[in-house]
Amino acid sequence: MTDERIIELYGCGQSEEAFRGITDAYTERLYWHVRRFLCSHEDTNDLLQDIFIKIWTAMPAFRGDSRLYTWIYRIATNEVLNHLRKQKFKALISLDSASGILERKIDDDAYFNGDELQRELHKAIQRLPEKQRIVFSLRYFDEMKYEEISEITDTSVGALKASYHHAYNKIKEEMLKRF
Amino acid sequence: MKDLKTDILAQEPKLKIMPYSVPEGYFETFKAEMKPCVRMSLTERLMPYVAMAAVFVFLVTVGTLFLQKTSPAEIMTQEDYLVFSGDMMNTVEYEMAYGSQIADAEIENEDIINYLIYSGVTVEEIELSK
Repeated sequence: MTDERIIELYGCGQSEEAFRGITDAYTERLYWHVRRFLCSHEDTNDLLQDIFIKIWTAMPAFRGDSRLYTWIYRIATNEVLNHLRKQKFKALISLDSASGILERKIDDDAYFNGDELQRELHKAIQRLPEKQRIVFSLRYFDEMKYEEISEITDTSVGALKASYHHAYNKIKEEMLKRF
Repeated sequence: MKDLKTDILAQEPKLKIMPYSVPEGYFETFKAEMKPCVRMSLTERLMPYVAMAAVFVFLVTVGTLFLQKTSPAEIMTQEDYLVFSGDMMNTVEYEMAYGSQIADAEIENEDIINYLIYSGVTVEEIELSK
């Protein structure tokens, strides 16, 4: 179902049908978007449910000022950031580092089936600051345009380009040191 | 930016592929499980919270009215209370009476984290204050 059709259904009062359209169209995309940050399947599954509940409750507030696609990604990204902040606090209490916890999750993940190069890339991503991690992920993996990322993150295109440049070079250097 | 001799991110197409997998049939199950929760309308989901808020308002109103009707002379001072309760109950009985409440009142890490997040404190601020 297209975004236009989903909006049309919602506009006609068929909100359940519209939400069904959103889950059908976005479950896999949002899952992979979230999984890149949380690493573990279980954490991703829990957060994905929360994201869809947030989308459902926020649907009456969707005015069509932005595209449905960026609006949904913005909700998902905010939820991911909140989750990562919680993880940071938990790590602080347990005297561990948040990136260390995530790196261990990659090592322990039964559903990780990449090679060493891919493992190192995903570990290097976890060591990036939050903003750079978001920009790098959306640009490198999803190949989103800076204008779209700008709508999702509410950040200027110039600042996003700088963040991506820093993130890209940091990861490149870390990977070169290892391989 | 992309030096092809050393730019491993540009040279290795496999790096763009997600190295994770999901349990078999996960997405189908997820979509099926998400649907029933939609059937409950927003009003139905908010009803328990509205009921709780109504009970809270009722208790506060009744409590306020009760306190207003009680004259200051009738209110026991903290000192009087301690003397009174000291006569009435020994330490062992106190533990028996209130021990479980004290245990329940323990603050979890999760509560602290939620409080810090919603009050706008960042990890960086805590680390700076160390």
